[in-house]
Amino acid sequence: MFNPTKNIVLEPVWQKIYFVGRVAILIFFLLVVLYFLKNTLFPSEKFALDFNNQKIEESLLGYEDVSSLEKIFSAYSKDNFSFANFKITAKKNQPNLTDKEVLLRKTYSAFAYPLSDQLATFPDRTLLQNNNDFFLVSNGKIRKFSSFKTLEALGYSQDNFQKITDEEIGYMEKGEEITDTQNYPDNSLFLIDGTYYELLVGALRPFVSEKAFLSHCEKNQALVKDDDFLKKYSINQDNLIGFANGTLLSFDIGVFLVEEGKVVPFNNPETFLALGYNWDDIISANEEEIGLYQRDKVFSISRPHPSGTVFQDQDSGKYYLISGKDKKEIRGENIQRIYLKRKPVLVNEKSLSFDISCKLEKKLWPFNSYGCQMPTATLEKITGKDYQFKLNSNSTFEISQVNIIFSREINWLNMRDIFSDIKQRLLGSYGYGETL
Amino acid sequence: MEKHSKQQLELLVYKLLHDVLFLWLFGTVCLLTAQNILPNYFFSEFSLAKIIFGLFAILFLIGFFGKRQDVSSEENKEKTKKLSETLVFLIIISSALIINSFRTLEIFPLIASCVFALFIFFAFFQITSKSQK
Repeated sequence: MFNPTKNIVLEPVWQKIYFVGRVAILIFFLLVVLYFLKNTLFPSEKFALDFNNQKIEESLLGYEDVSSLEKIFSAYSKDNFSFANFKITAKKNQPNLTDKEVLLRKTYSAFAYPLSDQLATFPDRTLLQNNNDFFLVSNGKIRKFSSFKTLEALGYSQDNFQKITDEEIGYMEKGEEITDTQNYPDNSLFLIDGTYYELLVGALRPFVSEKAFLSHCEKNQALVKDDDFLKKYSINQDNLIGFANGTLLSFDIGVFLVEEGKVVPFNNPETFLALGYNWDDIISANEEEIGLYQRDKVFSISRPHPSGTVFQDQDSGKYYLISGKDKKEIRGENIQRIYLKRKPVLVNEKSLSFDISCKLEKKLWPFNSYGCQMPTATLEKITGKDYQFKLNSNSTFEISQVNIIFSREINWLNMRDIFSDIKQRLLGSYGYGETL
Repeated sequence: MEKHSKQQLELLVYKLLHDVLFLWLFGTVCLLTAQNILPNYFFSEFSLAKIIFGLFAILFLIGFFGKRQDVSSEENKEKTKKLSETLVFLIIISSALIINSFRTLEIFPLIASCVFALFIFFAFFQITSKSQK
């Protein structure tokens, strides 16, 4: 090794000690390098929730008290791991948790919402044709045009309507027939002088742009009118209609998700990809379009998919729509076409079952702590970012702390993934590949 | 401990600290090079502030023991000879890192940066050569 102090000569005994010292320093350096490489190439991820000193909403580990006997802890990661170590520390004088089972699944938490009895239906504003009957979906109900003459008197033609099946019409709640030929019903759409409008409670609400209109509807659904039509109704300029829920927008260097009248900026590209979104679905927005919305806190990996998200089960091919805290199945080809303006988020039905488990064992330190390890390599094939741990207990107990550590085994398969990742990053940073 | 042994011990520590410094610098250069090539990949495990703090701590200890044993002046003579060799190595590494960091720049900012850097280098060269005269 390079010796910068060879001019300083020690006495023979001290020189020996110096030699041993140098070897020890070198060995220590090599061990540090190995430790660093292990932690960099095979990093572990740690999640902790301290019930005594931490607010649950500020924790990286999600917590849900399903019942007094059932608790769910959610760790969020885009990565795959070899093992998950679960450790729980109970408060003093709590029942023994030895042999209690901890179950694990990997899913998207929004996909794990309960399945609603109701099916997803055609959204408001949709014009539908079933055989010789014509309908408008207005205020959540399907309203039939009383006759073809009514329809023609209002200025519609057959081209404005989307054909649907008998089965699809059966999913909808029926509303009043449209008989008035002088006034348009709610949720009618118009194109006037290049601007799209929706009629709501006797006033016209403009869409902020054509792109915003197309995120909800098809072009042929809007009736083309001249400027005189604007004199007939008041215009609600203060309340522009923006993009559909779940639309992905880009502005400047940010990517945003539209959610209930707000735009949520993604905190990083990894989160975007971890949620299963597709870069091709991003719509470029201008200042006016993005300025319509209030900006919400950043979209971090722990946040569930919002209302309007469509999931597709890769195993059964079924589609599901997230609506509030429920998911609705989207049945019928024509209904699916409406909701599939963006690519669906791919999921696996089997991700909902807790297939991996381990039994808690008492740990020596800290007192009242129990832990177990479970293999998670099989979860690699399942899409999702939420690792949900379920703990069932026969009796109620109070928790002091929960720690979860995900680790990777040093093996050839993991090594290959790491090198592939490094190669991608390397090519990406020199402009030869996809950059995140 | 008798004075002679204490002197030998302090010299031993002084020599070992140089080895630690060498390995510390070597590790830091490797880490910075890796970070430059693959941004945000390696520094997740390390803090640059801690690395620099550690470096200063080692340098302080070397200075402290060197002063106590009065080896600094003797060492410096040797160091000046080696400095030119080390300087060449450092210039090559630094140039490679600087050129590598240019990869993300557009052509016009790149030209502007190069012209500005050459101007600074020329001015620096002029000032140092004048002061030597």
